[in-house]
Order: sequence, then structure tokens, then C-alpha cells
Amino acid sequence: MKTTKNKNLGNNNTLNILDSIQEVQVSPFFKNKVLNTIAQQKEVKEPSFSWFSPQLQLSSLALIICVNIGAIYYSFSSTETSQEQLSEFETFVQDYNLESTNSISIN
Amino acid sequence: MTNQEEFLEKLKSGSQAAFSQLLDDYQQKVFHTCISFVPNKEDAEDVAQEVFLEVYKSVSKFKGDSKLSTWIYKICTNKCLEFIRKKNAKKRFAFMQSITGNQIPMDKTNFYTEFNHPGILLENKEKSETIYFAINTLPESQRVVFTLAKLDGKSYQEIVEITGKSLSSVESIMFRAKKNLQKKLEDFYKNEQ
Repeated sequence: MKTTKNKNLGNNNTLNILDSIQEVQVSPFFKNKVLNTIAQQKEVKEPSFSWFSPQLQLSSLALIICVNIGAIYYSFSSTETSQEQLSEFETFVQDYNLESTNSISIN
Repeated sequence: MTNQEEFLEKLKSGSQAAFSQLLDDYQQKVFHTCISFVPNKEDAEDVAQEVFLEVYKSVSKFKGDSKLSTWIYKICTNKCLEFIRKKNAKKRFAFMQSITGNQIPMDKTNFYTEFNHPGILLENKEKSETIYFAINTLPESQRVVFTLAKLDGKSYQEIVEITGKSLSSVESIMFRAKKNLQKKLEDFYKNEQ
């Protein structure tokens, strides 16, 4: 009984040590250190494509999409023209006898 | 518009003068909280610095639901816990390595940081180290409440605001923390004898 009491007293004394902790002053350079770190981070974080604003990004994307849609539309709509071109090409080949002969002579 | 609101607006707009004022007002308080959680002056200063960087980055998102001081202490507590978690994980990893490898097993009572609290008197250093080690083994909620109340000297009302718990909950957590701590210290001294 006595020993338990002593142990509890010892524990309480141990915990009471926490009340005697003195206040520690922050380093006098702390403020400057923080301000410098913030300034450094600002410099580092300055993006190289700062001129490429979100509005510009959006309009560029819209332009690219338009160009792509135009290209797809053009390629589908020009199927007939390409056939005309093909026939013109065939007549050109025939006119100038540029057609390759399929017959192979075996000597 | 009150002075506090005006000051907050300046902070949100990124005013250097306002942030400098904030540092003047809070550097000692934040550092005190940090060193209460992390009993090493250099580490505590590093954590305090991270707290102010976080404040600077996120002040624009601060809605003013709570007091500015409460918000700063919340960040401070979270940063300290994050630091302790990381350091403890590193220690555990090193311990596992020492078991699996050929290194000499490290002392299990090794603390997550080098104990260097300039506010602790030399004759109390050993006992304080033991208490800090015991606090570190408490569940997180108990550790936070006990540290804020006993080591940082915050009132229960302030702890309620920081942790977002009710007053009765804070009181009961504190009671359990003290009880657990006494039990741990009792076991420690029993093993020592």
C-alpha cells in the first residue's frame, strides 16, 4: 500500500516537472528566415509560360478543335473530287503510255 | 469593417506588411506550441516555419469561420503531428533494418528526435525525457489534448476551438491521458527497479 502511494507520488512529481519548463524564445532570425523562404518560393514558382493565360489556353484549344473538325469535314466531303482526280490521272497515264505492262516475257 | 477583418483582407491580398505583422504577433506563440510537441529547438523552428508557409499559402482560403489564431493553431497542431508521424515512421524503418541487417539493434527507448529542450532544467532532463517518451506513446487525440493543455498551457476552451471537440470530450480525453500517462510512468519505473 505504502509503495503504491510512493509510486503515485513519484509519478505526480514527475508530471509536475512539466510545470517547471521555462519558455523558450524563438530565434531572432526566425522572422527573416520565413520571409526569405517565402520570397525564394515566389521566385522559383514564377512560371515560364506566364504569358500563356488560361483564356489564351482555352482559345488555343478551341482553335485546334476547329482546325481538326475542318480537316475531318474536308476529307469526307472531298471523296468525289478525289475520284475525279483519279480518273484524270488515269487518262494522263494512258495518253503518255506510262502504264506498266503486266505481261512478263519469259525467254 | 473591424480591424481584424481589415487585417485579414490585407493578408488575403498578399500584403508583405500584413504578413510581417502576423509573424511578429504569432512567431513566439506558434514556436511555443511547436516546441511543446517537438522537444528540439531546431526541429520546432523548422515546423514553425512550415506553419507560416502554410498560413501564407492558404490564407486566401480562410473563410473566417473561426478566429485567425485558432486557425493558425490548428495548422500548427497538424504540422507537428505530421512531423512526429514522419519521424516515427523513419525510426521504425531504421529499427526494422537493424533487425533484418547486421547492424546493432537500436535502443527502443530512442525518441523520434534528439531531445533538446532549452527550457528544461538540466536536473529534470532525464525525467522530462521519460515523460515526453511516454506522451509519444499515447493515442493521438490524448497526446494532442495533453500537450496543448499541460505543455503549451492552452485553456480547455482554446483546445475545444482548436480540436473541434466538445468541452466534455476534451475533459474526458485529458482525464484518460493523465491516467494512461501515470500508468505508463509507473510501468517504466517498475521495470527500471
